[in-house]
Amino acid sequence: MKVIKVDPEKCTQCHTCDLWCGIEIGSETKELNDAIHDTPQPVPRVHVEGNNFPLHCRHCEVAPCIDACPNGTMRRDPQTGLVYVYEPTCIACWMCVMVCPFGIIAPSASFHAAVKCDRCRNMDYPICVDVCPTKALVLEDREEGATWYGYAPKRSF
Amino acid sequence: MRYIIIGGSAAGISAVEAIRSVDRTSPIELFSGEGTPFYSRVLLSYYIAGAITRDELHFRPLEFFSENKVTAHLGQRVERVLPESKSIRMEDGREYPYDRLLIATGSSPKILDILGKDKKGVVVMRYIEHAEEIVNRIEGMRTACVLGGGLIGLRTGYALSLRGVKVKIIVKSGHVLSQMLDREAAEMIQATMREHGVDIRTGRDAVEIVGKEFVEGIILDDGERINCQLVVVGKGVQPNVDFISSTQIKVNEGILADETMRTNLPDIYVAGDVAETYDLSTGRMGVNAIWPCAFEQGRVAGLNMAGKEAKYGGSFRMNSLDFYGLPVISMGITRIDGNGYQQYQRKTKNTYRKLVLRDGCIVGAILVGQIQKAGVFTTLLKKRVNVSDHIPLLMSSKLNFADLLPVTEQNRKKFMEVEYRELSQRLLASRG
Repeated sequence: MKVIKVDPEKCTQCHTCDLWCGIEIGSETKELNDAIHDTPQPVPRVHVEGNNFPLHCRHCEVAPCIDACPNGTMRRDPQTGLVYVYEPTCIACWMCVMVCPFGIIAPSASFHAAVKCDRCRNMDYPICVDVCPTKALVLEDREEGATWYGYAPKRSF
Repeated sequence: MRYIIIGGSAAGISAVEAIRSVDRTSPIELFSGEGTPFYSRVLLSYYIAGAITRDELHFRPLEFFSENKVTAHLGQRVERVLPESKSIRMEDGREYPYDRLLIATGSSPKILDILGKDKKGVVVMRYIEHAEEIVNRIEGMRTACVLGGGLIGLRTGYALSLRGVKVKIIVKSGHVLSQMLDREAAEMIQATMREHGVDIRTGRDAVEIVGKEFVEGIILDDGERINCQLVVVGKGVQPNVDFISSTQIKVNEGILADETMRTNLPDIYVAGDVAETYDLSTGRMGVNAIWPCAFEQGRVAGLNMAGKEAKYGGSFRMNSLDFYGLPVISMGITRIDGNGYQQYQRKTKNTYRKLVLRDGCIVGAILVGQIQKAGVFTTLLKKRVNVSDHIPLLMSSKLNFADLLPVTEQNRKKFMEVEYRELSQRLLASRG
């Protein structure tokens, strides 16, 4: 399983990661000039926290958000182990928000859904890692032997 | 190995998933008193509101049992557990042997003792049948009364209000949700609900439900009569433990669980609303009948049953609700009674934040309006981290996990999961 790792020493707080995440992943229009006019406004999945720490979903081994979700909306991708929100069934109950250790699940009233990073699981490469100008974000293997638990439907959507 | 699971809701299903992550072949038999599998009780009010369909009540696909090689006995009640012969007996006398047993029988609504409680149209919200009964009556329903200011009653009232029914909530105590909120937070919810036309009567109790065959109204303790076509009763739940009364299994309020979710008897495990576990917020044993605890307990029980060691850290009460766009999350102890606690509060027009500490550790919290960082509190409570040096940050709307990294570094032993190690190793390395 590959995860995004952060080197805060290299982060210059430029916010390129959340800007591109908002455009590529959060918006319908996929172009900055259009996305800024989107209603509702795109929600980036990465948050530059503190002074220099871009924080995403950490795809916990035992993910409390999957435990807390009352209808199987929060899932594991059975192939990659990545945790994602299956948005069509999200009822905006915020149980996942209540238990996320990192506080990175956004309870979006305007999208009526919990919004969080899925590490761009349907793309070749995470957009934030791709655009980070100082390589403060890198895609690396999780240590060997790490396992994971939580609802992983046979069919992944 | 032969597994038997009694109960087919959150804890039972979670245990199946855990057992199957270790043992893919041994037979699992699951018994449930309910005929409808995999529906989520948490979602019933959303179904009443019309926000989801009946099919969308499922939290796992219908193929779940066949995919996980589970023999399901639905609509069949277990009459007793026979630990001496390591078997269970059904109401019809059939017996099934087990090597490992999980009791995940959940809880039942407490019965309201009030004159007229047996009339048609008095609904104790708990099972899918109750929600269906309400949905079937909604047409032509003008007014509904909710007796009790607990979460289930309030959610049902909110759902009915969204369907255009005039809702009146009768609350004996001084404010709604007195189990999970303080007065400040409850009043924010009450104000929002009243703005949307929900009538909340605090400090009032119903003394009689009137009508002939069907409900026609209720009488309050001050003599007022309210006409209504539905009475929803929400007085809390109690663990389903009757069927083990003849055994040596230790029961207090619920069945006592050790940190592996085992009962005092070998090979018998317990999880979910029926289990009494160590409560991290109170420091005492207690029943926390909520969905996330049931799932976590079910997994811990299932792993141990299948021979893979797992420990349960403990439970605490928590809940999330969102009425008319006002999100609220509360956890643990939210109202102080007695000494030894510190509390911090911050209120703005549309937000409220409260933290309750004991010995420097978070034991309770309320968040109204801004809730995104609630899970940070949940985690600090769960891991019993001393946060007394970080109160200004925790109380600030700028709270974020990165600023708390020094706390996780100071408490490295409590943050040993790979998702934290990946973060902090980087951090330490980069600081050279």
